[in-house]
Amino acid sequence: MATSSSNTNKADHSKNPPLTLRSSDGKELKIFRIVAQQSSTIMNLLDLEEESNTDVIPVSEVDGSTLEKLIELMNNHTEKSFNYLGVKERKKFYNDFFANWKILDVLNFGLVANYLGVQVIFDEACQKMADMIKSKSVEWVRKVFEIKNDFTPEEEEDLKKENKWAYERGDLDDGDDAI
Amino acid sequence: MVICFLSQSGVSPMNSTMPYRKYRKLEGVDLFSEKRQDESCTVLEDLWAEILTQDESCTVLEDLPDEILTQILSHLNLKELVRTSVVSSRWRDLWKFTPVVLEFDGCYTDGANKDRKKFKAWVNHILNLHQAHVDGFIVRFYLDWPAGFMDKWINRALKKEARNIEINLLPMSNPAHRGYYALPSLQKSLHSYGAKSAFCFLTSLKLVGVGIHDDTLHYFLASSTSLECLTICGSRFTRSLRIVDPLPKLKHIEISHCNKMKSVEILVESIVSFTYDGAMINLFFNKTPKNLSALTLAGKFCQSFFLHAYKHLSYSFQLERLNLDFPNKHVKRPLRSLAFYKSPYLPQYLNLKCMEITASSIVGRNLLFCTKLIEMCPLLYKFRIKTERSIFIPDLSAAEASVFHHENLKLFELVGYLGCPSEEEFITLLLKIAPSLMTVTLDTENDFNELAWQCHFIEKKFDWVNGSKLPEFAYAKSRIEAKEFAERLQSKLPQKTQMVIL
Repeated sequence: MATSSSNTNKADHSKNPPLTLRSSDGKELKIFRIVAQQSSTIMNLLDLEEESNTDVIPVSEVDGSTLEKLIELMNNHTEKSFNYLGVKERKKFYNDFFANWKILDVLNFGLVANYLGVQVIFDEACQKMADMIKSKSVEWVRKVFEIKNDFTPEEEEDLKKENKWAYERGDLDDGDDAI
Repeated sequence: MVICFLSQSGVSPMNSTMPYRKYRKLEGVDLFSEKRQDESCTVLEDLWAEILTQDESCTVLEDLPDEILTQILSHLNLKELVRTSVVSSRWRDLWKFTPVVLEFDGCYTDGANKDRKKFKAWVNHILNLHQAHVDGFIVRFYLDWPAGFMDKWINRALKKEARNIEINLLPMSNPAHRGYYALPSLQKSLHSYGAKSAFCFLTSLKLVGVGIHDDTLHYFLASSTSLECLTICGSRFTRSLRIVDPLPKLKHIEISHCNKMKSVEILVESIVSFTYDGAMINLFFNKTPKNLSALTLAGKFCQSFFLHAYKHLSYSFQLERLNLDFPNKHVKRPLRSLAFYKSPYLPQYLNLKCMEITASSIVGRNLLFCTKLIEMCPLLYKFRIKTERSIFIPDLSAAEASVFHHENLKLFELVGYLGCPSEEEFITLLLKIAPSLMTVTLDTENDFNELAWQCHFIEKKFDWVNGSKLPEFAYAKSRIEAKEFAERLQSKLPQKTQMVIL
């Protein structure tokens, strides 16, 4: 089974030459059409430009290294073995991919995935960001994302009281609140 | 590390129709390296102050449109989400529009129930405040009175287009217990949602301890064209289930403990896995559901699969994966009949590649009857036994065990390994039968406390079945000991067979 799928992949590659994406800093990256199908943005652009000689698609809003990582992830997705991964294995895969990333990099990456219309990767980036936020305090979130706290201390206290059930540590699976 | 922003563009990103800020790179500012996080916060604050004075438009999250922010927050659980409401005034009401999974757990993890009134008030409170769609609606609590407010909750969940609905009214209990709540009858449902309503958002429906009548269930199925998973457990009204197209995405079905169930007909092509636990019913599949690969049978139905294999042939011949959960002590008479093994007309499951058995087995009871199962599956690649220590699977002596040649078995997994001589006997026999065996996995996971408690009663039980005394033998009393037994066994195996000890 495995050998026949890789044979068909090879056949596809020879029929459809890869597309080229050019990033904001001039880096040119190749992406096969099958892989590019995951990106609704690229597909829309291809529909708009009907001449097939323009195989270079400028993606001038995205820098080279982020684009490269995104293409790498999209390549992983198209491999058949990826579809057979169980839930836990997929989680592990994404954990490994995003290991040691800083949260703003994940945000950046997620926004690029959103811009290119790759819903699955955008969801995974959102999941990773949520995982990073969930165990942090409110102050941490404000600092990292540079959000001004426009509550007075009284307002903040009132709000906390209103939702005090959310601060209860009733369940064993409640994460750590504060840093 | 750089901070970048996305630019405006003619092609609008799928999650927002609002344009957002242009990308700028802040070169040479490494704000979030590990080193800096270790230093005091004031350094970080200084850096932020520096950047702020340089250029005011360097905010990141604040510029994101709500749709994207709520997408991120939707991955939090309910409590975490509500806690974000104090971050700033923009965030105060953001949670009410986040498509989160509303999960209400009315039980503590140790099984104790939370205060019923408080729980009901809490759920109502959230349902009233939250205004947008939700990703899921999950309620788990023990309901021991017929409750009208469940109707309202389910109504709200459907109005909020919850993709994943789970109503579990018997958590931590044996689902065979009587459930008290029943979904409203068909007439009421039609009144609530209209005859042409489509629950096209619904991808997963799980009802545990909720009584649902046949026509109501069929109505929901007909209206949920995107349904992928269906679980009905402990419904005391369901008699016959007929699953027909259009349900193009329905992949997983689980039906268990529906005492009045008489027949299940599955006439959809897309089904991938089916689990049934209960008494004997008429089970009928479409001619050849091409994708059906995993079947899990439990309860008396599983017993019938062996004793009356001819009744199951319509679907069993094409299976690739089969999980059998043999009935345990809740069944009155253990599966003892040996006539089954001596019959020359046993079916052969020619497509079966992976079989998993969960069987309750007394300590020391031999596993030789499993050889019969392996014989029935000439293409078997993986065989897994998980033993739960209570009572009975049939007993075969070494002389009665089948001797045959199997060419394809490569993986064998035994969960609950205790180092008994019977286990060693089985593995040795298996190696003779299947020289192709490559990997033997022994998982030593066991409830050792339960086992010690049962030690007092084992002898009596053995007498009842065999009419003889249980011979003395050693077995592991702890996980470490079990692993030691396993290592000793490993040294007796031929070199080419790999052993994995868990």
